Amino acid sequence: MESLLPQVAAPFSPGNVHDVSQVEGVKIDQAYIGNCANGTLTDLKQAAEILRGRTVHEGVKLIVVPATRRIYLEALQLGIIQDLIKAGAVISPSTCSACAGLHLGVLGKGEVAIANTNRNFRGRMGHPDSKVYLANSFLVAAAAVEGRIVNPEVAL
Amino acid sequence: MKGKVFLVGDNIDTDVIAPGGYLNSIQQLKEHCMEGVYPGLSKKVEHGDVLIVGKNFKCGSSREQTVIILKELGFGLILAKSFARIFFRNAVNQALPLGIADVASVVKDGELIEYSINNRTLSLRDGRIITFAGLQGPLKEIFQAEGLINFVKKKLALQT
Repeated sequence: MESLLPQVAAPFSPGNVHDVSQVEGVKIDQAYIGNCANGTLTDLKQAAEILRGRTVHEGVKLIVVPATRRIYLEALQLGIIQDLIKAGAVISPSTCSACAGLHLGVLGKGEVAIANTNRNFRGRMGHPDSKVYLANSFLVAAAAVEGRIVNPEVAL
Repeated sequence: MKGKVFLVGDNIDTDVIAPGGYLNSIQQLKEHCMEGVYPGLSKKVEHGDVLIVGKNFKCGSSREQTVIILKELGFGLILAKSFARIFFRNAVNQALPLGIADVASVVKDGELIEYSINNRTLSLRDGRIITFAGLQGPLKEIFQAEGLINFVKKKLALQT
């Protein structure tokens, strides 16, 4: 297990999994942390751990969606939301949002996102020619800072 | 029945069939159905056409709208090597005709093909007739009742 690198699912299937080293350097337009299944307090804590004292890369949108209002409130009480906002994140209400291509961060033609969500099929987050990479919350937050996919254990 | 073949590949998922951005309108979902893998499909499809796909058709999110729009677009039969579980049951519940057969490699997109839901047969260009697997038992009863709601209504009517 120690030799296992963080894993990233490349477009257009959650099963298209690679070592982060194989997709390092891919430039991103958007980083997305949250949704019903992946906006847990643990995810928000992990994102804040990376983002505390850092700022989101120029030209990158970071959207954070706490899974529920209870998690949103807990994250506020713990100061996590404040840390994320200071770093440049946009906090969305707890809804499906751009995870399913509905609103607030819907991808345009050719845009690339990295998300900690669970699906990256063609057109999932917007235009059929947009792309979504799936990764854990540390990696998504690190990509938001660097503007490209990186291994935070190495790059930060 | 005769219909045109619409051929798409493996692992066709919910987001491709019913893109999330159009979920507020069945009409819009129909217009954008599978545009990522088969542009213009909604304009070409006619009543009785056949959708032939590979394995794991309609994986991903559940969204019953996928069944509704495929039915409303007019597909008379969907043949797949395999279906994703939730779609399979949604399709039975809405009485969308399904069959299981691995025929994606022996048909051409756009060709006219003859089929029978009752006999579960598909007639190929070379004269071969393929029998596909279909519903059995309670699932067949739900399909024949034209969907789960009608099926339950009939059951309740029998009880009273």
